[in-house]
Amino acid sequence: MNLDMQGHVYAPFKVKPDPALAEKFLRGQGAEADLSTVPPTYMIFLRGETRGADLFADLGIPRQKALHGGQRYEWFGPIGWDDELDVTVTLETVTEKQGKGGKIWFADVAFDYARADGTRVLREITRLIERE
Amino acid sequence: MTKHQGEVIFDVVVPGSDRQHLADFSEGTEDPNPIHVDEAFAQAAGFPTVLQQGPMTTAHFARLLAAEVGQDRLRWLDVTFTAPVYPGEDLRIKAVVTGVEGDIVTCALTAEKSDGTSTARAEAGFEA
Repeated sequence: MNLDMQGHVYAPFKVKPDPALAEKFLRGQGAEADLSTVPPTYMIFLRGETRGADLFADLGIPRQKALHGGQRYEWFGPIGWDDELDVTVTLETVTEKQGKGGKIWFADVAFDYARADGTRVLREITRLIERE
Repeated sequence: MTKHQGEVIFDVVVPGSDRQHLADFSEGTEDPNPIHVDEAFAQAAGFPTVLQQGPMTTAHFARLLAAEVGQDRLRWLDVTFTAPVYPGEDLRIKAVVTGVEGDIVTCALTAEKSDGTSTARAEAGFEA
């Protein structure tokens, strides 16, 4: 994992909820495809990969050594289907630790979602792990 | 909405996902990682078969909580993944109130396989 990426802030990109993707998102859970609201965790770090925030490539994490450690969501306001959000991605911490089976690297990455007027509506933090 | 410490908000079993569910979830989240859909890739990574997405458990937590307390009341959800989930594995998902401070209710969420293996734990806060 590229430890020197800590603190890197990506150029903001835009994401607008897509009902077709949301339907897949819900059906994948085995849930009813209720599109009356944007599902609470529809916004997810993975959408950054094709929009300029390719974390696995930029952090140098081989997919087969990658684990997902966790996620944190903080909701500050509602997100509607017509909201095109500006997303700012920050590599908050990138650390190395010695585990029982070898080195382990952790990256905590923050995704801040804001409306065009700058109002933040969501913060998502995802924790990526690389095994040696 | 009055909640009390120890109150069970929900306690449900989510049936195991099949491979189509995993493929749909990957498509729905724009997740290009083949480990969720490609058996050979998953085995080369050291797993017996494809992995269910961790964010699917996060999505179950959030969806079930929103259904009980209202999506507009959700304030935060903090999830740690503790073990892989494979296709066909049912998950018992539970949320229990841990405290009430002012107008915020906090709760602990758990996801367990039928053999009791913990696959994720979480804390959440929502408006009372």
